[in-house]
Formats: sequence, C-alpha cells, structure tokens
Amino acid sequence: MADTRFIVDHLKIDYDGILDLKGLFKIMSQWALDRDCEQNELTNREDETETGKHLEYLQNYSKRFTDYTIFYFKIRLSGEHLQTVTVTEGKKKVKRLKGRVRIFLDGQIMHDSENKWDDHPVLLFIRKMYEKYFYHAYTERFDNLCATYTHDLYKHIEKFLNITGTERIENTTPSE
Amino acid sequence: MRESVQGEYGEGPIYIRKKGVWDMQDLYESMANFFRERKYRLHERIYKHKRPSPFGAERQYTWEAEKEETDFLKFSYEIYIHTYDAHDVEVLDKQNKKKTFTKGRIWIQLKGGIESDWEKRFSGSSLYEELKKFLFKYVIKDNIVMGYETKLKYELYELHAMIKNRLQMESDEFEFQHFSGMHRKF
Repeated sequence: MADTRFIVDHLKIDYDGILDLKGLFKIMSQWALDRDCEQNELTNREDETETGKHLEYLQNYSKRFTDYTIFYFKIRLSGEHLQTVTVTEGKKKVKRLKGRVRIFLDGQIMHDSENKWDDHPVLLFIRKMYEKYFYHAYTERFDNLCATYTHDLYKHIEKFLNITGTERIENTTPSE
Repeated sequence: MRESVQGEYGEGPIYIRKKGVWDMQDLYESMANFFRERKYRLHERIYKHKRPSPFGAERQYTWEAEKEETDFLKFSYEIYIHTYDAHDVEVLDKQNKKKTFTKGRIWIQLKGGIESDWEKRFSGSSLYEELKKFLFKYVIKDNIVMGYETKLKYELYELHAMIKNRLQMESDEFEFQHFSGMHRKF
C-alpha cells in the first residue's frame, strides 16, 4: 500500500464577515490550475434554511511530481448562516455573502503511488531504507515543497479574505 | 442487475447535494443537451415517482450515456438523480414573468467509465485475452491513461460544473474548463 503522510495538518482559517464566496472558490481553483494540479471534488453540499445557507465543500487537489511521489492538498470549507447582502464596491452595488466560513487545509505526500515496492517485505524494507538514508535529501526536499505549497495556498486565501495575521514562524519540515 | 458503467477505467462517483430552490426543467434539458452536443446516446433507464409525502414528492432518475470513442474504446456515463420533498413553487423572474421552480432536496451522483474492446474482438479465447492484457499493459497504456482517461475526467468535471451552474451553487467556478477543448463551454 502506498505510504501517505501528513506534512501540514489542519491549517485553519476562521472567517466571520462579508465575503465573495464565488471569488474564493475561483482563486482556489486558479491556484491549483497554475500549479498543474488535478482536481477531485469529494463533497459539495449546500442547504438553504431559514437562518441562511449552509455549505460543505471538500476538494482534493493532487500533483504528481514523479512516478514515485504525489502531493495532495485537501481543502475543506464549511460555511454557516450565510446570508446574501448587498454591498457597494467602488461605485457598483454587488451581492455578497455574510456569515461564518471555516477553511481547513491539509498537505499530504504519497510515496510509492504505483504500489511497486510493497508486494514483498524485502521490497518494502529496501524502499524504507532508500527513503530514509539514501534518498533522504530528495525526501526532505519533497516534504519542504509540500509544506511550502500548502502555506502558499493559505497565504493566497488570507490575502483574498484580507485577513491581516501576525507573522509566524512556519515549521516547514516535520520533525521525525 | 446491470453492471456499473465504470469498466476498467473510471472516474467518480462525484456528488452534488443541494437543499433549496432550483429550475428542474432547465437542469433536465441542459444535461440532456450536454450529451446530445457531444454525440452521446442518452437513455433514461429508470424514472421513479414515489407517492408524495406531506413534505413533497420523491423522484429517482437513472440515466446512461455512451459513445464509441474509437473502435476499441467506449465512453459511458451514469447519472443518478434523486429528489426528496420536492414540490413546485412559483417564482417571479427579473421581467416579472412567472416561472415554475422546484423546492426540495436534490442529490446527483455522476460516474464515468471507459470500456475497452466493446466489440468483443478479443473475447472467446484465453490467448486473445492474454494478448489484450499485453496490449493494455505495454502498448497502449499511456495512450489511455494520459489521453482518453484524462479526456473523460475533464468532460465529467465539465458536466459537474454545468450542473452546479444550473443549480446556482456557490462553487460553480470552474477554472479547468478549457482542458476538454477551448470552444466547448457549457
């Protein structure tokens, strides 16, 4: 079985206010398209209730780096009590949504995506030895890249929502 | 029971769920048009209308669309639509005209698949079956995985985006729309 590990786990954005939700979906898919990612929409659910719109959206963007490694970027978006409001942007009146939106980002890396090295325990042992010692530089580089991409998406979304967060140290490599 | 359309290569199932108001007639016609324009043969396999409950009617639709892409490969789609608590509502559009929309819950499931050797030319003997496996594994695998399977996937997502657009869902932006052809936008 392919080895899937979390590099960035549950990066969260909690936003409560007026937002352009269509634009948010657009910039997320544009981000993925610019990086040649494949999309795989797992869940898309919208419920219109008396208190507003409730949304649940789960998208999986994948990028195959080599025949051995695939990156997965999971985006889970849940919106509650989203009401349509009319706001003025510049001189134009536009419709936006007001409510609470929570976005969770996960960055995962999958090694041996074609399951060529897990048929036999000896092959599995060789694979683990190579990943840990011989190709450690490449493995670490892939981990860093996956973390960078996930944080890049996070910043993209932050900029779009105009959230001014404090600067924080990014722990790009998981400590083993 | 009929086998799934997914065959040897497949995409999906992908789901759409909505609770609210939508134009069922427009959705139905748009989906049928989508397949007609791409020269698929569309069959409505199942249409079930269940006795309406106090909340509304329950309906199930199962569609199958298929097209012979090459003399060796056949594309097929399976669409399952289930509406719950559905009842008609009158709405006024921007020109103050009355239109009939449907209010309730809808669940749509989409699946796509590729069937190889649809003419069954390699069936009938175990030698032919082995030849077919060799062909698939070494000769035309890249052609299918990087060519036809990708085409099926983006076509399926084009249909998915079109349905979300008709249902006026928030996530109907589809940045990958040109992947299955520049001039083919729903």
